[in-house]
Amino acid sequence: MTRTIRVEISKNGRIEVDFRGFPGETCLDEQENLTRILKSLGLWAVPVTIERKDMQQIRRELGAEEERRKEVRAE
Amino acid sequence: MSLISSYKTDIRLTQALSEGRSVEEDPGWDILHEAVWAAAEEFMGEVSHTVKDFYGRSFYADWVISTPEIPRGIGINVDRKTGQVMFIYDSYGLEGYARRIQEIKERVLQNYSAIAVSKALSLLNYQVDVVEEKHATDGKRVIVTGVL
Repeated sequence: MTRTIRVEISKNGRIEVDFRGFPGETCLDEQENLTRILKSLGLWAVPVTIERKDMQQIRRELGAEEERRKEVRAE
Repeated sequence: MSLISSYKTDIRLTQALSEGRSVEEDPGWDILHEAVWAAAEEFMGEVSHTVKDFYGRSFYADWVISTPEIPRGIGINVDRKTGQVMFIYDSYGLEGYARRIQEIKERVLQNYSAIAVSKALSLLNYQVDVVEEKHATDGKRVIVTGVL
């Protein structure tokens, strides 16, 4: 499955990060990798909220992924 | 499992300093340069090294953005010992100046964050796409998407 990280950056530099398609706890490792690299690039990111997605959200994303694959196959 | 997280951000160029090198060699220096120039362009401004105060005295800064609305300029300096980024300006006696200054500060930080996030995702081998959207309250929102 495709792994996607979507980052939305607001006007004051506040960022919201959405990790999609990461199996198990791998998104936590990737989150650490991302913040470590950002820090080395001079952007210190202090967590404000961290929400684990519920099963309903994950199923919705998996459904959207499947739809996308069908579209690609159809092309 | 997947998650959504949000962060407050701050610019501090400490990587090169921690390795005993000068702050100008920090990877963040070039990012800040790019972020400042992009902000200047967005506000129809110019970039120089001279910021002025109410009395017309000139002061040096690493970058200074001046616009028609902010003729004295807003200076951006990086502390050579700590890597902390500071904004210097004199808003005395000009109505609406502080608000405009705040907008430029926020835009520099937003641009910096967008560039840094794009670079970080590339370093993690993601295919990166950047989209800027107009936003009613923020003026601009930047969406950076990495796909692996």
